[in-house]
Amino acid sequence: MIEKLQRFREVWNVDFEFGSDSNLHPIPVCMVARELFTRREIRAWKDELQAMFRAPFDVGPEALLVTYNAVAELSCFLALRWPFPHNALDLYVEHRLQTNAFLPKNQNNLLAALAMRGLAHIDASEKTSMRQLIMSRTSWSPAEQKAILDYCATDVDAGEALLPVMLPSIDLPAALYRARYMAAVACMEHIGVPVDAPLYRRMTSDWERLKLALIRDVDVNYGVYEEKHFRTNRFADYLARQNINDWPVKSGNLVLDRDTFRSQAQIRPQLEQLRQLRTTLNELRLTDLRIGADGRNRCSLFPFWTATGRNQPPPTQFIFGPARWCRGLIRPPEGYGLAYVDWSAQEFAIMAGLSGDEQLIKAYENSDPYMQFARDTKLAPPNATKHSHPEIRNACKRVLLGVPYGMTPQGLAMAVKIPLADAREIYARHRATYRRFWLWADDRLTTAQFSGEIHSEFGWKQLGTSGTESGALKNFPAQANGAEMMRIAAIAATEAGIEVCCPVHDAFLIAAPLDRLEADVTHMRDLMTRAGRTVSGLNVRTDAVIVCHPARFMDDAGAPMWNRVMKLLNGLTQAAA
Amino acid sequence: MPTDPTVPFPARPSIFDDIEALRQATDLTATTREIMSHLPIGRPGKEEFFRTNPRPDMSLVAYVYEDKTERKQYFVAPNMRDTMGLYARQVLISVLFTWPSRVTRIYPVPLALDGRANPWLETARDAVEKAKKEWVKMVPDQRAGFYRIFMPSGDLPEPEWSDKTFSELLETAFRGLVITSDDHPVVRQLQGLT
Repeated sequence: MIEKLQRFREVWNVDFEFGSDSNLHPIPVCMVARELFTRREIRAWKDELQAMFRAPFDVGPEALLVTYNAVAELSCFLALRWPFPHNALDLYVEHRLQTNAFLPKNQNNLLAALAMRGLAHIDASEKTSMRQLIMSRTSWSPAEQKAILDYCATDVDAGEALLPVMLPSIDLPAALYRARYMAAVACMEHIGVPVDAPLYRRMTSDWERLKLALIRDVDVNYGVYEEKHFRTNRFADYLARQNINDWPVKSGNLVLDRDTFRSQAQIRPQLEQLRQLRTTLNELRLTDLRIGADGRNRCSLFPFWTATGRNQPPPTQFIFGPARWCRGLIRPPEGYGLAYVDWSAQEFAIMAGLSGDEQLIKAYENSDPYMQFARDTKLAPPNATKHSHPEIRNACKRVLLGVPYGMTPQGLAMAVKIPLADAREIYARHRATYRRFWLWADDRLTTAQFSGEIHSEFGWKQLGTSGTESGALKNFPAQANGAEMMRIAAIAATEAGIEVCCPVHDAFLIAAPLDRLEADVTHMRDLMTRAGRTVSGLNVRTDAVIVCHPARFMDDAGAPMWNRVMKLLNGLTQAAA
Repeated sequence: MPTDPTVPFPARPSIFDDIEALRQATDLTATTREIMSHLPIGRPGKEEFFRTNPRPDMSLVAYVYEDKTERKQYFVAPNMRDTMGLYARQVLISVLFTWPSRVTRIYPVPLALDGRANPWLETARDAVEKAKKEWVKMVPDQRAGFYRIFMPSGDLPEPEWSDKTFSELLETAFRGLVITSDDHPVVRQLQGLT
């Protein structure tokens, strides 16, 4: 173990206990830090912490900070305005990596990490009661203070116990890079997403009446609700009236889950408003959105939470999680602008770049890769455009995006409502045109199935792949490398001082004062392009949507529902007046 | 802006300077290559375009026996032609590649019997010959009594020819379907011995 850490003069296991302020920022209550080689221990209560301008231990290039879930500790650093450590090792991230794919997600906490390695740990109920004591109060007796510090020290003990057990399997340089991303996450969580807080409060206070009004308003076109309840028999009648006779059925019943509604609404736009209404009623608990007193949405981004290493913030707490129309709540504060910067066809670029298929690369480098595919495969003439051949383009887009997931001709035929023969034709042309890509994809899959693991370009890996469904394995390179691209860009942007509000799958929301907005957007796009090139070898293009105060952010797909909700809300307000 | 814009990061090289050293080589240690385990024999479907391998060493005039009940075609070895007599039919065996199934197929095109005109056979041969240069499909027209030959209106990709020799392709296609001796079950059945 020592050999692996000998490049560091000091190795500090650190843990904070903290509460939360009205802005949902942490309020450090105490900290325990213990140096691995000398056993020197520092305990500091909140008053002492607040008086410090920097961490009371070395955070320079020759020191290493070890913690379990560094976002929590680094958020306390931010709250205390302490400079970040030069090097950090996050045992939570490494635990996720070492157990990725064979543990249920709820086994990622510190106690589970200890238990699965046969290490002693305190009782879960004791941990819960201590957390309650810390979170529910703002002052503590001297005896309670000692108990809290002792409890805090048990987490340091845990880190010290885990480190030697986990270290042999840790690729330290890669682990330092992953923890560097956790610092970026701490920054993004700290900044948060600005929302129109007065409007949000109006909406939440009127939410139950608003839902009823929304049902009445939307259901006029469908007739499928009875009071607040969606009635399946009425929906069956609606489908009959619309001559929709191929709605998916299981065991004789209409399939009504979220994914089915989404895929049906994609091919039958008349269903989109009903789909959004159902999503709103079934999934949106507006009061669960975590909005601070300063009008910012802040929640844990749950970094490295998915098998492919992507973030997975709780959809009920995160402003980008619920129905898309809710994004209309996002609004820059006075004097500020927001920019939503995303990569164009990120997954496509990854597959093209990593496979080295020159035809696929050429297609990506064209401004419209889907149309280029149509032209490459001679499904459309050389002068075709998305305006002249929209249906061909749509089918080609589905193929190009679906292939990494193992989409079959049958799946394509269903997704775009084209005859199976046409789907087979398009699919066959893809295989014939991008042979190198297919060879690479098949070899990646076979290697993963034989070796039992698959990894991204920078070391995120999934284990136990011998028994993994091939569709998930085929998807891994695009998703895991997309996550790497996000991490590199997030690190670069936050370290460059760009105010990154949050990551959103293949995009970032950034904020800047109006006089700096354009420059920051340009800088962000440059960093994202570099991150794209670093991962895929291609200059991955970006797009930016800019919103300046007092305008609000709006998702195109959510705009009609947003306008509807605003009209109803204003009606309710006027009626009440 | 109600957030603290202070950047708390230590001065150090950009992530772009550091990251390349962390790249993990992706050794594709296991590869997938299709083993041609089965080659269909017979006329391509009426929905499928096909090309004929134009190489001279990729076709052969030979004899086959077609078991219409079992829908199987047997290759009749030269030493068995006399024994099989009229049951064996002279054919031109060609190698096709079909689209969009992207499958290699063996097509024994029957040759005319006794020089008699047969529009079915003539149009089938025409299609196979034409397919040496361009994609075609042949659609039977029962009323007219011959195959109609169609070409695609757009361009199709070039055929993906197997790197196997013609002998290897025949071995794969006719595995277990070669009549080489009198005691072959087909011969015995035809002679009423089983």
